[in-house]
Amino acid sequence: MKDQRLETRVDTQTIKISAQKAQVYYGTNHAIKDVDVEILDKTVTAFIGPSGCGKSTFLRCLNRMNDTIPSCRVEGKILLEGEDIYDARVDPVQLRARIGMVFQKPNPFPKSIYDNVAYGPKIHGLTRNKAELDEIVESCLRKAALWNEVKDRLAAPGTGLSGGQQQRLCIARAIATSPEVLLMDEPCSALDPIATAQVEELIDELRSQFSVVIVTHSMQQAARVSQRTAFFHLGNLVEFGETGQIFTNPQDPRTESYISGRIG
Amino acid sequence: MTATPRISLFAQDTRTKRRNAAEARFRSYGLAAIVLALLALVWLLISIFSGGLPAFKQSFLTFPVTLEESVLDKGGKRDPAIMAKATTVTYAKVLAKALEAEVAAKGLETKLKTKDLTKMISEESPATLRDRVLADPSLIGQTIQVSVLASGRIDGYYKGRVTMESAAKDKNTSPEQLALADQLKAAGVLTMQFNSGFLTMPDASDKRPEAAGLGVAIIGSLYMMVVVLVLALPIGVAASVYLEEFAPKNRITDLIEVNIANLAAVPSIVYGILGLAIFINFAGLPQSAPIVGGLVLTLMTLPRIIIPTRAALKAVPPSIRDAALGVGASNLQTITHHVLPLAMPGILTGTIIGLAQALGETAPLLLIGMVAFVRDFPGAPPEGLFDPAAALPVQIYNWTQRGDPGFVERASGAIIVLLVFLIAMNAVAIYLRRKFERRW
Amino acid sequence: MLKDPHISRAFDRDLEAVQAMIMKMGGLVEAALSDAAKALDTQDEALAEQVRQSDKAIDELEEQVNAECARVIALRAPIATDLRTVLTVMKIASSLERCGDYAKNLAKRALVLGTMAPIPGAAGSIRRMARQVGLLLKDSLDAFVSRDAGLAAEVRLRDQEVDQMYNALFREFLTHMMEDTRNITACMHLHFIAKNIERVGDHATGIAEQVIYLTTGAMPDTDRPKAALASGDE
Repeated sequence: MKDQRLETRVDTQTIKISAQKAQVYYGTNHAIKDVDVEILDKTVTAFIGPSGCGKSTFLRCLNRMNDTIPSCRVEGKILLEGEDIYDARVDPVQLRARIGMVFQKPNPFPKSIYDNVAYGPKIHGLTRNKAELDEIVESCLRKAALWNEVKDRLAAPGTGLSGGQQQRLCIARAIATSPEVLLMDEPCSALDPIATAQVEELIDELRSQFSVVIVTHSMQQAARVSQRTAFFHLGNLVEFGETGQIFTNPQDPRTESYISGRIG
Repeated sequence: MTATPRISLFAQDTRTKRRNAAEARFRSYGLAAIVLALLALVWLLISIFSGGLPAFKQSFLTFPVTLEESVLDKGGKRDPAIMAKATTVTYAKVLAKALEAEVAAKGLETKLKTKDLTKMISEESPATLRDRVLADPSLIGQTIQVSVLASGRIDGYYKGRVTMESAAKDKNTSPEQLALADQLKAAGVLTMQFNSGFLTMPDASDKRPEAAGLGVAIIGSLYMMVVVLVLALPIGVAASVYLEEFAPKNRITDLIEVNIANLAAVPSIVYGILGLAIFINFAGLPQSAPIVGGLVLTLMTLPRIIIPTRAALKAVPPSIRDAALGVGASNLQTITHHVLPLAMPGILTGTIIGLAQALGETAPLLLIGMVAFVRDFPGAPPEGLFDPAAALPVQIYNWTQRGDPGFVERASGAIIVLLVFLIAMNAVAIYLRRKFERRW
Repeated sequence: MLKDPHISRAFDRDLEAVQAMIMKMGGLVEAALSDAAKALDTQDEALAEQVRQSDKAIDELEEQVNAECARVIALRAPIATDLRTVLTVMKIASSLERCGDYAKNLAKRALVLGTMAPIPGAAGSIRRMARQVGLLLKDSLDAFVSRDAGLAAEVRLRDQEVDQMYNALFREFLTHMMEDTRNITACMHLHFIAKNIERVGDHATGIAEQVIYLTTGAMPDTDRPKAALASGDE
């Protein structure tokens, strides 16, 4: 029975992203303080915490999306397989092909379903001809559990799908560039419970190929979906450990207060 | 606690009554304002259309003309140089004689002599016929059916400007001419036809309102619009994109933005003075040319394109930008592949409205000299952009300054043409906005 | 509709895992009980010793089941039938662990009885009783697996027979003790053995009642027929 649960074998997996003493400043506001965390390969890591604790901010640092905010400054090291992603030699555009992102509100491009998924591979020049592109589109839509629903209408606009389907389309789009890590910022908060459960099941399946980091304000979702959980509070990383451990016997009293609903 | 007397819901207390009365009054004010505005609009339209629609109908005299070689081609060899020696005076006589013959042929009685009959035909017509013959010398020797413009006074008679009484005092016409005109009309020689020449012929001199047309003005306006479109759209969009996406958010950028907003409010005549100083005096471009008019209007239209373009760019939801960046698109790719296509309806609408405004601007064009009397059509672009031309609004202004009452109708007709263009452009803008708006 | 799997397959796996653990525990307990009774009958010291050792495995399984159930409750937040399943599993594990302890006790006393003069017919009766109870246990676990409330109700009724067997043995041992005071020690042990087996029967009934709670959502009314003299449930 133990072999059915891969999550207990986390100690044998490699480290994909490692943050060392990471700090984030918005102007003079010290938003993220001294975060040390390791994202392991082929694992789902959840960031939980009350509103404003900095979990989304930290997530967006991992693929340098915070570069679009002029007042944001990152210090410390964030390493992707040993290389500092904030090094001056790193091109954020190239980085984002290796670290994909899915956002809170499903945001497919107002193009056809096919073009949505094909956009990433096209601009990064990942394919040589149309046949290869077709293949990538089909395989990504299959992995996102969307192929059967849309295979007859690939030319239909992406915005015409239901909420859950749109989010799965965004996931397909994000994995089309074969990233190594998939960042998800509250991906289910705009979805109904059935669509949420479908996306969570999808994340569980994707786990075998990518590392996934998911920010969620629902502790139950973190409990269901992740193998490791990090609890953020007021910009600090309070506790980080195996999910079952955190939810049955957390070490830090602040963690226990939050997950049992005693503090906001 | 004493119980307050229970008030029925069905009864209105005084406060409610006063509130409802105030609301009713406000609504009636609004309605009155709208009615007033509509009345003004209706009055405007009625006065324009009643004054201008007659310009589209013109009196024509249709009769056969024998083109005698002995008169028109003394050399006999269809040599253009020799044929050119037959002037418009000659042709005028030919026309008058032919008309006389037609009058006799139709058995109409009149006391008028050939000289008087000349006055019934527009002074423009001999030139028209001469151009026709010189273009096609084989016509000489034949008898052709010719349809010429009747004179301005005759035309005015049928449009109510000239009456028998006023004709008696008028040196350009006489009651006998009018009587003959009636007879010719009854005989079918004089007809009122749709005057396509109003749109195609160039301007005519003071005495010939019947021959005056908008041809040169329309071409001139068209050239200027092309110049404005080709210059203002790319520059405006590029400036907006830079300001919105690339410019750092500091004081200098704020300053630029404030100035652009102010430029949109600058009176257009100031742009005329600017154009005069830079394009004509400094750069030495020819006066009255569409290129100069186009450049001046471009300067004027730029802020009016930049402002709606920026609004359209701002209206693109940041989630689309985030999505593009998240997939690994660069800033430029995000803008060209995603933001601009989504902002395009707003940009197009802003551009078309800016163009429509530019089409109707008169003051700057007056200052750069486009008020001159231009008879020749400007050539094909790009050289044609440097030939002198007129513009629709300026032509209207010009015609209102002329003495002959026939030009009043012309000016009103030109206003109608201008309005049609403006409405068409606005309709295109609305259509584009509706068509693209539904997409996301 | 309850046959539909959860959208999260991991949830289904977790629930199947704890149920599998219960089945394994049940098998171990049944084996322990029948082996211990056999050891008493055949005076097989080695077998008795084996039963005592295997109780460790049963205890470990109970710990595992508890840890897993805590994990499932924390991580999956089960509700409705899933919640009753998890609660039932925990209660069954606890019952089975007690039954394992009784089997171990039986084996221990069997070893002690081996050093004394045998009471005629006692071991056979004990073995018969153990077999009955073993069947009760098996049926109650089967009812759990197949969610069969009817079978569970039947188990509740059949416990009466076990109670009657215990009553008969009680009187028999009393007779033996009154006949010959040298039998008292042995009969006391035998009595405790019989009592323990009867307790296992009660636990099997408890499991059956949990199954009824699981399938219907309500515990059966507490007036189940009890015939055992001085049964510990009053």
